[in-house]
Amino acid sequence: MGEQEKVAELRSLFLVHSNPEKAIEMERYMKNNFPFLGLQAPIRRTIQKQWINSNKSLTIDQKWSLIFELWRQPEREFQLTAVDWVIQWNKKDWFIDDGKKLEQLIVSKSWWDTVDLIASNCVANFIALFYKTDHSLLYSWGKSNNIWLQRTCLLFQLKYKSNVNIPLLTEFISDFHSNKDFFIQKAIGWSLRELSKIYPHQTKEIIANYAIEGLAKREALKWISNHAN
Amino acid sequence: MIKNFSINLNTFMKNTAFLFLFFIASNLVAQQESKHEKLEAMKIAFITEKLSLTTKEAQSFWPIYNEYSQKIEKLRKTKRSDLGELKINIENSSDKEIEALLSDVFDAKTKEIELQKEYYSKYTKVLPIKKVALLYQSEHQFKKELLKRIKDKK
Repeated sequence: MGEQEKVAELRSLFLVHSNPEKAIEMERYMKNNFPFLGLQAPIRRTIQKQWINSNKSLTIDQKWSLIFELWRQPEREFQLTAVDWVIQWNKKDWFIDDGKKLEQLIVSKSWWDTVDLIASNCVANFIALFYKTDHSLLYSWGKSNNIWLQRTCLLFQLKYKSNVNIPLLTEFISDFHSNKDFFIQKAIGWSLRELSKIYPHQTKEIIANYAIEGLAKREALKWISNHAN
Repeated sequence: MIKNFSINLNTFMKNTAFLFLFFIASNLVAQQESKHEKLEAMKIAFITEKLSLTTKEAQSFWPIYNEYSQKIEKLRKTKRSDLGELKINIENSSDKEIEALLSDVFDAKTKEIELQKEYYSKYTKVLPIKKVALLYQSEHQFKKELLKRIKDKK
């Protein structure tokens, strides 16, 4: 069975539970950027779990072909399935040249629902595996002028906890803090909030040194203000 | 002038209170609906996981099951309200009224069994008998897990 047939099979399973009323609600929540089938998350996850299991024995190239076929589908549930699947991949499924593939997923059909998951899971693991000391890929994303790649640079360390590379995060904050785009400011705030849970003093220093203000500052200081004393 | 102002203020207060109550009531209804939707989604996910239906089976089974769920829900709502009323009015109701009410409750129970039988026969046309049995088991397990969750939350 080719990838188109496999995705068509998933579509048939999704269609059984599609809900046009729910779809309108979901589309509205995502600012009408994508059409939805109206599948509620628990149902989608159960169906996709069985579908993913049936494709577990594929080679990594076949898996990537399926991921991009899912990405080509108009309805958002297919991209969410693709992301949930890639998140589950093991270390052995990743190769050094997969950066380009991740980039494709970040820059096409971009919105926070897929980009944030890709950044904080897939890119996080990928960078830890192949680009821990060589930051050339991240720098090229940072210079790309694509806000979703830049947001990824800010968010990929969200789950690194005490292993976070503070100078690298600071570098990206320094590069992007003058960009007033909502998604960049929110990402600066979010990355600093996660940092503040481990390194509150360094977080405050970054906020002061780069004159972080407004939304980014509010988001950054949320954890510290809730845990004062 | 002052009298007019006070009448207007009174009307304004009444309208505001009405709007406020309307807002609260519609919010509560929406919350109930959303809870019910979430539960339904959880139940569908649970059954899907347990039954491992093929695409063909899923396509034939789910429309039948959804139709059954809607009918049984409607029936159970009627039965619940009858029983609820019975509890409240038992002292003030006449024997005849109680008899009629009880008879309605049994009617609803009978209808429920009939509906279950009707849909059992429909399921067996699209699923192997083992999966039909698994469906009933899964429905029971889902209820049990739900009750456990509610108990654990308390």
